[in-house]
Amino acid sequence: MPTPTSSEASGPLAVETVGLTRAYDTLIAVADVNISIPKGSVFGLLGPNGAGKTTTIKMLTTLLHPSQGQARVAGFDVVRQAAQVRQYIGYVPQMLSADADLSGYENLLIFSKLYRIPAGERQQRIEETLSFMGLSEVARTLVRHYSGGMIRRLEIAQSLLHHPQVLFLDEPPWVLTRRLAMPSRNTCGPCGSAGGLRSFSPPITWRRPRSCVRLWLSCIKAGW
Amino acid sequence: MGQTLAVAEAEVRKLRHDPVELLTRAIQPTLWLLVFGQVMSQLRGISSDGVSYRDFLAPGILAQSVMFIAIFYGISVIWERDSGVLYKYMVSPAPRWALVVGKALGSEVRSLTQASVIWILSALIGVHLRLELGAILGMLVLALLGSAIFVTLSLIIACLVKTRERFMGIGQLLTMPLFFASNAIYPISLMPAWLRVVAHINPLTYLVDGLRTLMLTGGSSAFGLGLDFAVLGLSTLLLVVIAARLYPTILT
Repeated sequence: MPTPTSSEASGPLAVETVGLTRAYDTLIAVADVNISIPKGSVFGLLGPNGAGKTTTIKMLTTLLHPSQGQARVAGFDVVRQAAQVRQYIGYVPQMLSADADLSGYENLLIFSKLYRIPAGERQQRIEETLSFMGLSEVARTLVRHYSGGMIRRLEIAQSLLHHPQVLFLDEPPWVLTRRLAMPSRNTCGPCGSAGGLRSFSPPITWRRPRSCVRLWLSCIKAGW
Repeated sequence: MGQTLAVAEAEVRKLRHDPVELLTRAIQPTLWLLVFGQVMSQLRGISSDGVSYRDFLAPGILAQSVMFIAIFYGISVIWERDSGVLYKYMVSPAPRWALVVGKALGSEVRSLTQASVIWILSALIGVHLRLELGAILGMLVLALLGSAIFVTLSLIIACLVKTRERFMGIGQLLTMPLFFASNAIYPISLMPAWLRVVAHINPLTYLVDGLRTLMLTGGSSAFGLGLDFAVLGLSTLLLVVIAARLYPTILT
């Protein structure tokens, strides 16, 4: 799968929303959100519980249709070009979402096939990703025997496997930020604290720092 | 296609890690065949279309066990939704129909193992089986189609009811009527008129009918194999289309 350079995807923004709204019956979960996130940046979406952060992420990751407004991710419309959006994003859901009945390696293998990574590249990509996340030694162990932190690392690995342009993390937990805070040459800087929140440092080593957008759309609970 | 196989592969790999389920699943049909079948074959009251009752029952139990496995399979999707795994599948570029067909294929592996166990068991207790390659292959295709129908039906129910508790309720509610309103354990000719109507719109009936033809040396089809395959094939197609439509709604 070729990773497109920034010139291929239209528009200079990684994420752009105009009047993005989601209503459930009478309840308006997300009202008129306008965000513009340039490529190469880290963006944190903050708000108290129930503010609509997850709903916003679900709309941006094509899981939920907006009731009104538009959103473009990696240059593609989340409704009309959902398939392209899915090709270029990585997503780590709020819940622990690796398959517990498979090994770490198998989790990655299945997703490498879902993302159509060519057969010749699969093994190398999987091994690289596993070793980057420090999971090589437990690659053949069933995920049900992993610790919570290991599962989180595996999920990140899963979401990076296809070299996405935009990465979404829904409520990235502590354990992960510590792990990823390891210094490294391609690390992007920590993002600062915001209004009384504990600072969140999600730097990450990216294999192709120039061609990829490093965007962390993160949700942090208030009061951490 | 590769994406469909990837979804199925995940299921197969899970089974390989924990094959105990396959064994426990085989117990119930074994009891039907050995206990129910042996006792009922002493009765002379059931006119079993020219074959012994034991022979008559074997394809019915094979179809039943395929259906039982398939119809509860949808709960795994609810489980995957609750655990979050499904979100990642939905965010992947795999088309919805590929996810649905992949799930169905994954379940086919269970159904086919089950079918093989019952077939071997039937051979052991002296059911008069057709041993031609063509008939056996035809039987496998039928079992695959039958399983696909009930798996996709199960996925559709999962998308509609969304919770495990409700799903189990509906599953229980469906299996017995589907089983009893079919020709699985007695011929349709014994049924009251209203039940015959139900039996004729029940896909399980066509599965059993086809299996009886292809499995038994003395078996004869009430509807014709062509109709059996056509009904099962078209039902599968229709249900896949509906399931692919509904699949994303399970998340909301």
